[in-house]
Amino acid sequence: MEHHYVDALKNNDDTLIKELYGRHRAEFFGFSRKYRISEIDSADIYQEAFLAMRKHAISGKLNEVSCSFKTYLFGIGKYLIFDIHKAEASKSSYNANLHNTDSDYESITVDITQELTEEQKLLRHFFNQLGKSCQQMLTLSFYRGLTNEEIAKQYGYESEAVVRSQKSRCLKTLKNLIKTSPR
Amino acid sequence: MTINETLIEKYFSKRLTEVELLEFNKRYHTNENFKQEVDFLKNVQAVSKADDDVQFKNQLASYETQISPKKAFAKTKWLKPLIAVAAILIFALGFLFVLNTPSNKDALFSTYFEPSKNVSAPIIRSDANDQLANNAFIAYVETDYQAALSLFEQAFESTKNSELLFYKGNSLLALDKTKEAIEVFKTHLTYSDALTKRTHWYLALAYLKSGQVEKAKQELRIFIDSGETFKLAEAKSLLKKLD
Repeated sequence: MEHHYVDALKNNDDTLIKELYGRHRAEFFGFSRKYRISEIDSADIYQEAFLAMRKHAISGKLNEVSCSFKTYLFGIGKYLIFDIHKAEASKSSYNANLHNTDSDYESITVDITQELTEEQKLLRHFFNQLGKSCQQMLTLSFYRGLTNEEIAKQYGYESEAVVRSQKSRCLKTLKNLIKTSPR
Repeated sequence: MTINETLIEKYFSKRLTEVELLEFNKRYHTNENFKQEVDFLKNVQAVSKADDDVQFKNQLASYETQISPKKAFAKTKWLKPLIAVAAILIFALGFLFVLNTPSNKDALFSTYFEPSKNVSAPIIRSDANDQLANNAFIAYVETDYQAALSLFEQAFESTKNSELLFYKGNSLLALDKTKEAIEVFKTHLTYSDALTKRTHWYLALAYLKSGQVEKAKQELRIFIDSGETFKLAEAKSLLKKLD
């Protein structure tokens, strides 16, 4: 897959993501129309597909993919469309013919968003009490998987050591918030 | 940096070599402190992922609004059936003489009402003490208005930030609690903040929903004269339909 697009998703490059979003939108809406998806639902699915793409970019999955960005995006979209049809099929009669509409794109399975555990929900409460820069620092380190050096370089910190000590301060504050909270 | 720190950093950035991975797993299974730290950081990862995904979704929704502003309002799923009903009603009964029937007031309300976007969170989020407001905005953005309502209430009690009343009113309106929404909007109008003018628009819609057309028109006129550009065209068009 095009490396610069994967990097754009990983680094949240607003300009390039917006450009990609606009570039494939009309074709995706036409694609989902074939599956009798309304325009409003198409927008939802298109955005969910982008979100799933980003998750795959962050997890490193896209590095092993050989197809294009567009093919992968539409593959995820197709999976999400099928998922909607399956859910609807439980309420009414299932129309299997809908799945034969388009064979250009292989359906790509994505994980449906996992719920946070009770422990994680509680942690989220404390996480949201951190300052914005701490929240960003921890997100970059532990979710986006950036090294201290990459954070320093991309976000204008003086050095890797500065990032390290800032991150350690943020984690200490977070642990203190948990410790001092009334039970 | 200690070996533990290096291993942990490399684990979360997915850069452990095979040898390092073996060492990581060994420590994870034999060193309780190491395990506890890694498990804690895995939870931090899950939490930051959840928040980061919400922000990314908002980013995508803003692209959609820019590309297709007229349709973006209909994204809220519960609103769709109402809008469909509104569209059918307006099409079928689209004459001025029937505009005073209750069903058409509802239809007009459904056509014009969308809960306000969160335009305050960047300011409020900068204050680390405002965790309630922060959580309220997360619930609000996720259209969980019931949860948002109670959080906005508590947040307002503790911070007295009047802008929170604006969102509380919007949550009530989205939950169909029109009378309560009217009271909250009226209270908000006793303050002067960045959102006070916009409250006239939502108060007008709440009056419309509750069948108080004259009061709705009065609020619309105040709103149009306020110099606020937000929803100005919609306000003018709605007033025309009600006049």
